[in-house]
Amino acid sequence: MMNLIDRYIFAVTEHLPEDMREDVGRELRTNIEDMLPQNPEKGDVYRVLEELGNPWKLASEYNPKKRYLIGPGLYDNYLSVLKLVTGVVTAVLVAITLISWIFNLSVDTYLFENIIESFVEVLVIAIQGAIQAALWVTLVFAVLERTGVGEGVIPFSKKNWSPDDLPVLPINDKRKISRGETVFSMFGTVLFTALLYFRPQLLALYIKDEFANINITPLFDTERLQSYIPIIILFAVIQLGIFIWKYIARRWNISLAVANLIYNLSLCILLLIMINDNSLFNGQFFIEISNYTKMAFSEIMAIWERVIVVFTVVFIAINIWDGISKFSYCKE
Amino acid sequence: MNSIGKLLDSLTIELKRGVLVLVVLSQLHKPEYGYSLVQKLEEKKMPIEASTLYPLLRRLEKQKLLISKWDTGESRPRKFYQLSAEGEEVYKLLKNEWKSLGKQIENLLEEDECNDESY
Repeated sequence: MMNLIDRYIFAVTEHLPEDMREDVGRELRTNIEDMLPQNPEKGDVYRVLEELGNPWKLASEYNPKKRYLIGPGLYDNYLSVLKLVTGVVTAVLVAITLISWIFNLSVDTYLFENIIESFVEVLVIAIQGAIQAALWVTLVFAVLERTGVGEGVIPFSKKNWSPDDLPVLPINDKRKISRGETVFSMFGTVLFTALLYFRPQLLALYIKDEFANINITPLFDTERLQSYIPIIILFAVIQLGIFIWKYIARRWNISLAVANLIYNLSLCILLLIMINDNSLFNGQFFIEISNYTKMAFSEIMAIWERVIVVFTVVFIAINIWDGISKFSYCKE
Repeated sequence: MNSIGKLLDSLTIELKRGVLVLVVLSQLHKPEYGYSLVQKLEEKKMPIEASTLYPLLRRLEKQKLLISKWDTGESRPRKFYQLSAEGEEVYKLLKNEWKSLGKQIENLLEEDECNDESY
């Protein structure tokens, strides 16, 4: 009989902060004993505990602390970011695995069991990627919740709501950022970075020789490219951060436009540095082109230089235009 | 009819929940312990469930409206709660709020009854 009361008190206090556990338990015990008649029977204890109800519920009345991972202030944003990141990461991992699988195909991989094996591998990679992505997004949002970001009336800001925060009606609104476009760009960034990181040798010249074998000559010097990888990944992370910001903000604003412009300019500088690094490109690549097209090596190099100049000019022009034009979207 | 009854029940509970603090404060000029307060309120036809009242007393203590003391003199040690000076003050103000609110609502309802009669 006493055992029932002990179990009830344990069930209530186990969820409480340590410093109030003992006092609440002691008070609850006298309260329960007060509610019992003199010389109580087991049925009486049963009735009293039933009256007090579910110990988990009682504990939540006592406990002033947050008993949730992500609260209502952040929940909507959490869900949309979770879907976005898990989706993009999974899709990209599957795409990379499939691409590398296709490029590594040789005669013996046509065997049925190898295909099954590769299919299982893709599936495992997709599931692992999704779990990892979900875990990290959840972790970030749990930290945001605990640091009080969600406590403002507007998610991600501590300000009180004012009519200025009202969204613009969606008719012909240039400031609006299309979510589909953002997701697509995000997909592109991750895919391109992953390609450079995992399989730079896929950016290559594919030439069939007289024995129908495919000769692959990569564009980049893989070792030299490795030294650029940390900065490329840093750029990708910053770019993804801006995409997530765009995805949540849904409209252009000044700080977003500034971040976008700075990112675009930095990207142009990185491109200029890489373009001017001659050891980054694989000399064999140009020799192969020269052999294949039966043109002189110097001629190929002259064309290459013109291509590079045009590419660089166009790239920089587009990036600067993109960076500056966003400021005009911020105006009313 | 059954669904109206259910709705009415939950609306009544909500109405009562609003005055819970006022009810509890009104009974604590003299020290009371958890169960004695449950009984007292039951006698006065204003019953509050034990599982609601016990945590509420602790919350009011934390808000410094009540002070508590363990009385170990009797056969069974009990935690007694009583209004603090701040609690007395808040109780007085809250009581006035309740009275003026009651009057305003009374006026509203009376007006409504007059309108009913004129139809």
